[in-house]
Amino acid sequence: MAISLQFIACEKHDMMDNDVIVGQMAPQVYWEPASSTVKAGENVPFNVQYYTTSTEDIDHLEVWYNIVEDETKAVSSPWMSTFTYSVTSNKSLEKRISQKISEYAHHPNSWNDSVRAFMFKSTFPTSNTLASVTWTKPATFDNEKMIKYFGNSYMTQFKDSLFKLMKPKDFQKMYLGLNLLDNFKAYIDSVKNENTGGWDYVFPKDSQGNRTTPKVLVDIYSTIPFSDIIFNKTTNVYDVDYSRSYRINANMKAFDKKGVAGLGIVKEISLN
Amino acid sequence: MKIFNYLLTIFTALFLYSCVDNDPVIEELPNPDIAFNYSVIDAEYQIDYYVGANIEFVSTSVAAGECTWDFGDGTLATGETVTHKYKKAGTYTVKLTIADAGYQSKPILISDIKPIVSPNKTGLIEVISTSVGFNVELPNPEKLTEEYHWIFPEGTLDAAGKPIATFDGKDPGNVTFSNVGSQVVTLQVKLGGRQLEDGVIKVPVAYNLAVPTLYYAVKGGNIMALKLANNPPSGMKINPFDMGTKSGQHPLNILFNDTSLYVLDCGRQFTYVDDKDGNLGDGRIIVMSKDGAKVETMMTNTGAAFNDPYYGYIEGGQLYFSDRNTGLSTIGLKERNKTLNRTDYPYYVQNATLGYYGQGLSYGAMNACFGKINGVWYWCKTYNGNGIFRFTDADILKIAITGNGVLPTSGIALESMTPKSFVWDAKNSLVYFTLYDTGYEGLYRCTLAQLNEIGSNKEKLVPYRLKLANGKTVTPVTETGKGEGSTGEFIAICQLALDENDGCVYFGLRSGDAAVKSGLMRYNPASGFIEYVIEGVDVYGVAVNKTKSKLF
Repeated sequence: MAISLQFIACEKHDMMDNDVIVGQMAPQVYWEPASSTVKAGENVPFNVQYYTTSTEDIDHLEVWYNIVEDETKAVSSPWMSTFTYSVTSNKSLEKRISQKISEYAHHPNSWNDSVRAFMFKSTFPTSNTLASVTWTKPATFDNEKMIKYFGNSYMTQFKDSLFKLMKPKDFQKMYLGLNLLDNFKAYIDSVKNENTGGWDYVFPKDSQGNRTTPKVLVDIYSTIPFSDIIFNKTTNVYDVDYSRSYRINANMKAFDKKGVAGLGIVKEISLN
Repeated sequence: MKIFNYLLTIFTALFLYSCVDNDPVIEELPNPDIAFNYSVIDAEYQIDYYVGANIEFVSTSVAAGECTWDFGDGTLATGETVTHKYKKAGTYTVKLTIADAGYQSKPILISDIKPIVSPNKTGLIEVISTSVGFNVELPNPEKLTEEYHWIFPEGTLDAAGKPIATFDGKDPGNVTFSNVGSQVVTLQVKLGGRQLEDGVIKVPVAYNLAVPTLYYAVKGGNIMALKLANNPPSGMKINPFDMGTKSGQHPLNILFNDTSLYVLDCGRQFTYVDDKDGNLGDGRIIVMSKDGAKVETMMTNTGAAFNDPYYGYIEGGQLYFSDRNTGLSTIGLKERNKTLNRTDYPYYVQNATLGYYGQGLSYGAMNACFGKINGVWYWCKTYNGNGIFRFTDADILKIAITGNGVLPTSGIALESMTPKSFVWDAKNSLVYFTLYDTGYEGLYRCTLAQLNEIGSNKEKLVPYRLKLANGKTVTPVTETGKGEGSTGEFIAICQLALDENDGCVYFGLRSGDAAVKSGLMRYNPASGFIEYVIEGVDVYGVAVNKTKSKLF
């Protein structure tokens, strides 16, 4: 019973099969890119050492890499006085699968006796399209950029979510700060908080006796542009941050004449 | 028996009802026997994956059967090898389905065409005097109409010496820059009437005199550099250079030595964590060349989070680095791509290898900045034994103790306080240090004799507390939830850097005082006040390259 269970387990999780190709003697590769950060569009210099213990001659080498995107977004409204409202997100996603980027011929005369390996220096390319993008606390608001980086519905969702959380003091700070009202007294009451001994600020009761957000304030809110909601009057910038950058996970493969490949260690390189 | 039947019926009904809700959702998982790859097969721009590129998709599946491709943009194709062109930029999910076998899906990023801008001049671009133009490369295989719009930074002058803010056309001619630092030039292009992604170039504009360089690590941003130009010509702004290297998660200390900047990043988790399996470490030390062109990894930590590199000091070809709360280790400055382990990098000194242990220092005493003054180690501790614990190499015990050791004669400075950082001004024989003790937060300056005189008496600190011109002191955030960290581990003013040329001391402040803005600051002995260098930026470590240069 135990043996059969073990066999079943091996069938699903055969670690040997996942990690090595049994019975193939592959070339050995050691490589080192010169820098772990490069400007997008520039070539990455590297040096490589390789050899084989098999009878098969080495044929050529290849650099492969995938592309991972790191994206961060943060938007906040500085008008809130009773709480901090900030929406942030961080994502790291593979955007392109690992694929062959460049190929290098094997030169038998590149043998170096001191390291007992073939060795050479070369470069591999990166794409200009992968330059990092940042849009941080701009002094002027760009609606097109906002939609491009955050999506079509983001601004509406942000405004709606914020509205649901706003207290009378928040409306007061925002409306007076944006010069939307001259006087807020008609829309705010204070009531004694028996627990703290202090005063709480609430909306006046409506005709039904409920303390809901007055319709005037609701109507005004719908007219406020999103850009005003995130405008920081103290610093004169818009509280929006967007950044997108890419990194590659690169590897060197050395192929022998039979097409058996030996892999180096994956190197992560950030593009800027 | 009837009761038994009723109960059986009820239980059966309940059982069946519960089964309705708990029916497993059958998820169709990708089949590992199905695989594919893709590549651009055009003669040009093969690694760019532009909109309109011919992309070949090849099934490399073990599974046999008819291949159906879903390119994620609403189009399908069949066959083992197919080609496809995307019409819009974006990320798509490509799905290969093989009849009766299953599917596999992979992402593909399609990039929009964008202009590539570069300066037409190599070598130093010096403020005011260097005239520079721009090369533009725009992939345009379909020969569409091109419309160019340039945006220049403040202080840009055209060939006639007149201010130029924008220019319409492909070639704006040569320009000069009136301000130092990364000058951002933006090129907006419409191709066939469609607005492309902006082409952006950060032109590194050098100062016209050789001066030292300050480096600083911005929270969530990049390592920046600033020319320390005192009294630049009227109207000339000294802006920072974006070095293009990420600061990392928590770069509490950065150290400049020779031609390189060493960035000690203690990783995502710098506060307390119950790291049971000892594998939450992600800190590292990177080495950036002074011009940012080359970045190498010196060491990474994949073990316990508390072993991440927090603070550092360089002397004699060695970088000494501390962990969170146990000790200091060393690594040779030329080492690269090493993994931290205690066999290769044993502790040079630990809490428990000093005579202070059990007599001031306790288990897990929290580390802060450290270094040497006149051959004596100064080791700041902010929790479980507070103060600056001083010792010489001869005081370090070979075996860890549990107490009752011989106390080092150098003694403890600022005992029971929270010294976070310090720097020694050897030329003027002054020590600068920071505290975040409530009511005594700030930056201080005194002689070593005065430091000894302060002892553990906070009232004696008062004469040495430095202020802004408006009389305010600097108070870092120590309110849990507002800054970073909690008791003993607040970021506070986590590093001080001295410009030996003029004695200015630089630091980053995350202000906890609403009346004082956060930013990059300095104490200027010439004015006698703390001054803003750059307002509104959140800074971790700071370092000065004292070798004077126009650029780096």
